Amino acid sequence: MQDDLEMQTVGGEEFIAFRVGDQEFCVEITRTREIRGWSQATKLPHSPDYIIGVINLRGTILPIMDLSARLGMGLSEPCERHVIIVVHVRDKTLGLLVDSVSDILDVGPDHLRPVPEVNPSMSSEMFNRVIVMDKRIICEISLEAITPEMELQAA
Amino acid sequence: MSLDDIKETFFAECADQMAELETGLHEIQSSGPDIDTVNAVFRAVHSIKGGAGAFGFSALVSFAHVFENALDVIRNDLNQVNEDRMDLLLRSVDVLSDVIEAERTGSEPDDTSGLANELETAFGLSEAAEEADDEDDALADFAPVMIDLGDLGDLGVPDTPAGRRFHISFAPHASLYLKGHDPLRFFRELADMGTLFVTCDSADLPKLSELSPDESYLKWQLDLETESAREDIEAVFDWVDGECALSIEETGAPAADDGASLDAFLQSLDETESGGGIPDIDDFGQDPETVPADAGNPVADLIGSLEAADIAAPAAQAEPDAEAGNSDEGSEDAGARAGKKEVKKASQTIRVESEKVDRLINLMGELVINQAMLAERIGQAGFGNASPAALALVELQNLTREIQSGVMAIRAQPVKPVFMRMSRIIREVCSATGKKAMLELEGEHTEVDTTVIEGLIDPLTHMIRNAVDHGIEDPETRQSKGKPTHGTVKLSAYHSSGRIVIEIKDDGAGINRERVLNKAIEKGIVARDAKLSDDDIDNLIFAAGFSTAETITDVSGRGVGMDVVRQSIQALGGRVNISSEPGHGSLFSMSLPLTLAVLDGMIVKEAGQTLVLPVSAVLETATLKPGDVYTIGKNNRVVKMRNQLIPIIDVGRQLGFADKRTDFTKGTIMVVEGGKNGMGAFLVDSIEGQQQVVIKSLESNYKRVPSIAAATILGNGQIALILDCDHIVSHQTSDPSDAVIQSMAG
Repeated sequence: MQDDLEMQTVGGEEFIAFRVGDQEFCVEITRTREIRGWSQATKLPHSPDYIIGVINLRGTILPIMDLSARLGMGLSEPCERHVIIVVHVRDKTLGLLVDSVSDILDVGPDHLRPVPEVNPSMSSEMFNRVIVMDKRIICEISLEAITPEMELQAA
Repeated sequence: MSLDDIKETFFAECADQMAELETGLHEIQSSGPDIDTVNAVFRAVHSIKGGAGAFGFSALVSFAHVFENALDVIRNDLNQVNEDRMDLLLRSVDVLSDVIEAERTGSEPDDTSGLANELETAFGLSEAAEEADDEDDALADFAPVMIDLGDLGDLGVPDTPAGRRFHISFAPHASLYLKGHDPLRFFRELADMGTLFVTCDSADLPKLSELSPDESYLKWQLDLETESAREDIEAVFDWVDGECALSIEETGAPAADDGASLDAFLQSLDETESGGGIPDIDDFGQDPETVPADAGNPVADLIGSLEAADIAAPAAQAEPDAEAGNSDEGSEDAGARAGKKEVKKASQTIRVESEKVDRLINLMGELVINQAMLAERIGQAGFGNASPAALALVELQNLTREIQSGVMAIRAQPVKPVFMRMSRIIREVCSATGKKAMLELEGEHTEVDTTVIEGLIDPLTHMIRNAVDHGIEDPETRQSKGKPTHGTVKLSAYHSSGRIVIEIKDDGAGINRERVLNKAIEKGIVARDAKLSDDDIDNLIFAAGFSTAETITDVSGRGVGMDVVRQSIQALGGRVNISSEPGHGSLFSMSLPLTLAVLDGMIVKEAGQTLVLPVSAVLETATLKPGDVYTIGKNNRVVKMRNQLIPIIDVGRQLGFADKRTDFTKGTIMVVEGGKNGMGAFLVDSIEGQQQVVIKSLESNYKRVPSIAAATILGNGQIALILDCDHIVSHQTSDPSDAVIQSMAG
């Protein structure tokens, strides 16, 4: 599947780009399962503030992560215009709350750069690579890095 | 079906046979030998041996053979049972299961000759063989009985001439039967390929007085009209390569007059002097597997009518595989069973992959959720309770409940197999420690969901080990105390208010409270000056890092203690309690949910959230008046109910959903049982109702959340959290005297 996609895009990779606050981020499109609108989540006790709660995704319990809070950009106040990107992380499924989906990108290797050393407060270890296109700079989120607590449980 | 598949079936059946074997021996041990039980036990070993032979598991065959012979001694004379021999037989069960396991995994089985020799010596097996011969002579007095074979004459007429004709002559060697094969299976398989004509050549059959039960006398001439190729026919006999004289010729000519040859065959049987000569007639009478279900092919019809004639013993000889009886091997062979399996089991049980059942259970869960949604919509639409829509909904609800219990019943299994496994554990611990103990079972047919059973094995094993290792005294001590030298561990199961309760009771020394307390103080689990009740002390053994064994034995001291037992039972949604009487033994009691898929839930509202409590945990509900609440210390509120002071737990605050309440009279109190941590009075805003909810794991996509057992989906599609009452009660922060319990809970 992944291979097919890469073939079609002539060696490039496809990403889904979205806005969080005033910045753009992306994840590999092969990691996403679906995009859905916001629905009221059930709060979980004793959870970090970036876990908003859980929602019902056709019978499975889907935890929702506030990506803004996770990246240290402040808590979101989820409402109708927010979007949930459902992604696969390890063997689990997770919903990422973002402001909006902005683009589907087909990126050739020329535009993919390693993450530069920036201010550690912006936690550069949460990103895999950076896409530099025209005037846009889009960081690719490392789904594994933003979910360390889920790894502990998976073991 | 590949050979591997068949092997898998064989090992699956071995497990069943082993269970039967163990159950049977246990029954013999506890309530004395009884011929039916002994026969069942014998058949189990026999089947294992037969199947093992077909696969060439020689180690298994040879041990099973000795085992079988030993059982035969008992079968012939029930008075031959004594304690030592039973002990030996039970040990043989363990060894047999080890050998099966070794064969299954393809590893080298341990040497079994030691135990085999012991068996032979203890049961005087050479002697037994002679007795068996005597029996044969006794049988020789049977008179032959004519059987009405009805319209057998029609059988040989071919319906449609098929493409090719083969002539097969088949003369099995005695070794074929020894390996547990059954010629009938080959004939059935051939008959499935086309039209088969069978002629039995009994010319070599000696007079009964000269007949040896271990020899092979019968030969068969088979004519097959089939479209299949020669290779297919050869494949049928693949299993017995070298065990028979076989020739397959393509004739192309029409088959001989088969009606006549059948007659001749029957006549030849008739001419046989006597109808006896089958050492084990019982096997025929009782074995349903020899009843063919696929009427319509000549061979099966022949046997069918024989069976229908309600065969007196000698009649069985007319059956083509009567020969199999002569070697006392073939009638239950597993090779044949692999083929006959569907035929035999269809009406009784089916083997289904548990995944398929799990899927059904998941779907059932969705159905319950959907039905709840529908109920809510109908309510919203303003239909009255007596409206057709509402009535139809009630019907649907009833049906859903029935489907649900039906589906759950598929997965429900008696706890017996797990219990039986424990008897082996006891034997092992006994032999490692030199103690003597017996397992007594009660209510082993109590059913519970398989997922619960699976989760039960480890904690139960550990507790049984502990009961013998730490509970039961050694024989000398027991004697000096006037107890029987054999200790008893009683394992019982029963249903109680929608849960299954499993109890382990031993008649050992009970818990040495002084030692437990000292140890706990030494390990810093309790404060030196703590005042603990006897019950509190008993429960200390569940504290993390606690082990009283003075020398860590390799029996129960495996680095894990009773705290792990308690954790794994809690993980199943269960509770465990202990009560002990010094000098008289201890009683561990576990209470577990019957299923891990659905739960009767009490739906409550608190701090704007909908929460679910297991109904089984809620003892009572009440609203509070100002005078009911007492304050202890600065912030700890308790309520006096049921003659006890029960701490009030502000659920919203406990979960971090709301700030601390000030007015305790608003809202509802639910008295909740929190396992060994006592009770808690959960304070919530309101109770919404009671509903069956489907348990959805939080761990599957997230992780375990403290205080939350699981989640569920309500009728409106929203997720509600199911509270972990034990955890909330044990982790409340209201009463300083609870400090002990809290540190115990870790």
